[in-house]
Amino acid sequence: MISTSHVWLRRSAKPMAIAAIPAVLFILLFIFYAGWTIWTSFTDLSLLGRKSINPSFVGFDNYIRLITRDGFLQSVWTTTVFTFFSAIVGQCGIGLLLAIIMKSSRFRLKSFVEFAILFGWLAPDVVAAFMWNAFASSDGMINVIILQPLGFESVNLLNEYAIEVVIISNIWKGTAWSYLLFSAALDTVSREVIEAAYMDGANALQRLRHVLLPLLRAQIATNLLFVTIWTYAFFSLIYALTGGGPGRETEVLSIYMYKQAFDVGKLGYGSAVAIAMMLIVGGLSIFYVRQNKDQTR
Amino acid sequence: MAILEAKHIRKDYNTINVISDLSLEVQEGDFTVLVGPSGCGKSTLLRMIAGLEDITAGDLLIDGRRANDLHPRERGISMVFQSYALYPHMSVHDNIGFGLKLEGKTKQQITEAVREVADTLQLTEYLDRKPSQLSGGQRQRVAIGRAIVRKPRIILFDEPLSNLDAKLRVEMRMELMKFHRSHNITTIYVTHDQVEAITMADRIAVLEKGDIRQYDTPRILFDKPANPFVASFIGSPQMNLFGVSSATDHLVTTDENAEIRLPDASMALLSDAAVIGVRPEHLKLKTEAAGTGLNATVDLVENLGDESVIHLLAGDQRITARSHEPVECEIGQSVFLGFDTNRAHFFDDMKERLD
Repeated sequence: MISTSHVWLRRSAKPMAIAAIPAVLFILLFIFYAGWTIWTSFTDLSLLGRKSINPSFVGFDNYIRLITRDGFLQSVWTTTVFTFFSAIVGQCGIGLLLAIIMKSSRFRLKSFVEFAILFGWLAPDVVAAFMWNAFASSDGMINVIILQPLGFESVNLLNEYAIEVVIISNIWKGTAWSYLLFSAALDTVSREVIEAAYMDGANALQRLRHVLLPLLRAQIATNLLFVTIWTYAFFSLIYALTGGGPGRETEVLSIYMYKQAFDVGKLGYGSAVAIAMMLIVGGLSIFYVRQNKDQTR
Repeated sequence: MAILEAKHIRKDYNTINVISDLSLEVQEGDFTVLVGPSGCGKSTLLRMIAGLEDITAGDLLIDGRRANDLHPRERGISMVFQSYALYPHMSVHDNIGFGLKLEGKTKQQITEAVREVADTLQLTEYLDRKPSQLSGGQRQRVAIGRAIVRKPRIILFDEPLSNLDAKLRVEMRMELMKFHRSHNITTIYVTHDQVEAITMADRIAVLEKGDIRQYDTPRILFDKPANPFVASFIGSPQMNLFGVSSATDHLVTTDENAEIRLPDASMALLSDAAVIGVRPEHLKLKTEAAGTGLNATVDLVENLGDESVIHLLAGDQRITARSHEPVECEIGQSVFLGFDTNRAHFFDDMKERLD
């Protein structure tokens, strides 16, 4: 609402209305595609064949299939494991820890660490996938430099420990974001408050638990929201690294959806997977936002 | 008995030397103020006493025991910060009781101790509030409560009044003095405000460039400043200082080309004097030359109601005079400033007081 005190806003209403037209068009476009996906998820639309031209309405069949067939639930589990370890424990946890350590570190060490983790962030996903492939394959760096000289047999880590490699590579890739966010957040914490806790006799762990974490609660919750949403729908790095394999070990929801929609060609079922993903991420978001609200109250 | 002794303390930050060789003794129960312009090292000294900064060299003794490497808690020291540094996410009760909780005290012990402190500081009705729901004065009381709840031997204050408005500052100053009188905890208090220092302190250490220029009672600092720095720092408006360029037969010419007439009596001192100081309130405005003094021209008159501050020029020398009686003079008017040589201060060229 524009109140009388916002004279500057009221007087520029016309140019602002004109400037808003592209935004409105985009919003309409978003709504259209979201609506189209929802509609598709209730049909048996496919990529090829008769059903690509004449799909029929199938009601909740696609959604029922999500629950009754193995693939979807298995992917939900894989995605949850992947998100929990790579985003929540890895990116968020390590990012926070690094930010706290680096805050009091010397300039040179700090520059070195920041360069290292930013490099992971800046590398394109496909490049990162090739790097990790070269790192973890049977004639890759880990085998040649560490395992073989120690007398172990070569292991194809991408086969034996696929989910672990994918998780670690995503931590490497994404920690920079959390690190930067928490570094900025730490600057807002008064140094005197931390010193007061020190004077009160709190050791480093107690200062972290009783003072720093409660003070950063809002930023931590916001960051968890971000990284969960991004990681839950993450596709490119995993697809380029393992393609969802071996077998279906690293087949997260986004890859499962892609395969169902474009490899198998069931666009209707793929859309249902997409909608289900959206509901899961939406549910998690509401959970985080609620948590944050309760705690700041 | 000295509860705290600093012996030849030195502080370097990497290659920058902040304090080179500082010694200080604080007596038990005293209210000691460290005062000086910004960058003089007073806060650094306080933080070293607190244990928030390492001491590069020298010894810090508390109750005769070397405390350089002790944790603040083991030193028996607590501190009130400039911003109060209350934990914003905790209630007043939890803020005050946090240190006790860390000590492993039971809930009941904590509640009892917090209630006792809250009673003396009139905070009982605010115990459930968060710091953001308190006024500036209440926050300061919570910060004091947090500092005294563990019954420290020494309590440190780092410019606690500088964030308050003028009216509240005067109120809180009085409250702090009452608090000190009733609890009698040894207090070390840092400020850059000399009025605060003079009104509150039992003893004041005036610091400049990491060194103590004088450590005495407020009375002595005011009446017998040991050097021109202390002379100009203590007192408001600040003391007029005249650099002596030449002195011949009753007449002193200053570095800024003012001429001061002096009687014979002071010539013994004068032969060594490099700086002469006269407080503004000791300068008497006269229309005719008489006795000791100098000629000057009125530049500006500030009327403060109960007193007037007169700014004058003699040669290039700026002079301030203060009068409690109404002053009738015009800007540009030539006047004579008389003073009693017994109330003037003489310093030699090593900037030491001549007496």
